[in-house]
Amino acid sequence: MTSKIFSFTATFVVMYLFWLLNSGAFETFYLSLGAVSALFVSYAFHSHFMLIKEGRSAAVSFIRFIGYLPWIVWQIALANWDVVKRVLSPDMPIDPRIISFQSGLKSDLSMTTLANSITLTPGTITIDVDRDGTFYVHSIAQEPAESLLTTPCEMATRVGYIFRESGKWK
Amino acid sequence: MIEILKLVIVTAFLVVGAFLMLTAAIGLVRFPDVYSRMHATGKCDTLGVSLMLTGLVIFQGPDLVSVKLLFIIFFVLFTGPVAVHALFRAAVTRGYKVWTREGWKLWKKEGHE
Repeated sequence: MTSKIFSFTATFVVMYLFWLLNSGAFETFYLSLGAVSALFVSYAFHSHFMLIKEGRSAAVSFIRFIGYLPWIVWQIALANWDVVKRVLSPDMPIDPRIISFQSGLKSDLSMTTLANSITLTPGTITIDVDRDGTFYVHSIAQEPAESLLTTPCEMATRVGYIFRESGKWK
Repeated sequence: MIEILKLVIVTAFLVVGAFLMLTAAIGLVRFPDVYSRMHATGKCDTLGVSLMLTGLVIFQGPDLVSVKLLFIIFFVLFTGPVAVHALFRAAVTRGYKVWTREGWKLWKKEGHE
């Protein structure tokens, strides 16, 4: 019951903030209109929208996710530089292959985050994920694949740390 | 002075973003198969659009339009990889072959070139 109240309230707050930021009009009429819409949306969709059901762990995950962002942004920058080099160099140094590895993650949310992170980082794209946490990855060359095949995998550990499924990455 | 500095930064963001989009287009043409083409477009497009929008945010300054642009950046960063997954899955289910260097050498040895 408390988890239901939490997800309803959290959805309402997020939706209402989203409305305020997008409308920018602060007359009573528009404010109440926004409240009604946010109430309707959070009534209909709160169980789908809030993927973490408990307030405390949601807050912890959110803070850790913010801490994860600088690292992933840097990885995205590296990925783009890598692709730019491969595209523009005359002999095109690519050697595509498909690899699979066991990430050790359990929840849907953490596996989604890892899949998206893999796609955005150097030379690798997620093809498929199994229920038990096995990832199938298409890699553009040998070197990008190796960073994922080392155990423990750095990215999987970092993502697991966000969702409290593994220890902190040193 | 501040104005000029701001314009320089904005221009730098826009130029780098446009360069990444151009690279994505070149990669789309140059790479050999559907999977490696997605490497080029999936990554460079996502960051290219984000960088150009970041430049626009700096140009606009802090107001509600910037907030909306930031929302767009956020959603592009999340939907880009998902769109790539969807395309990739579709290609895999249709049974497209993965281009490999060994296969390419074999193909050339058989006298296709």
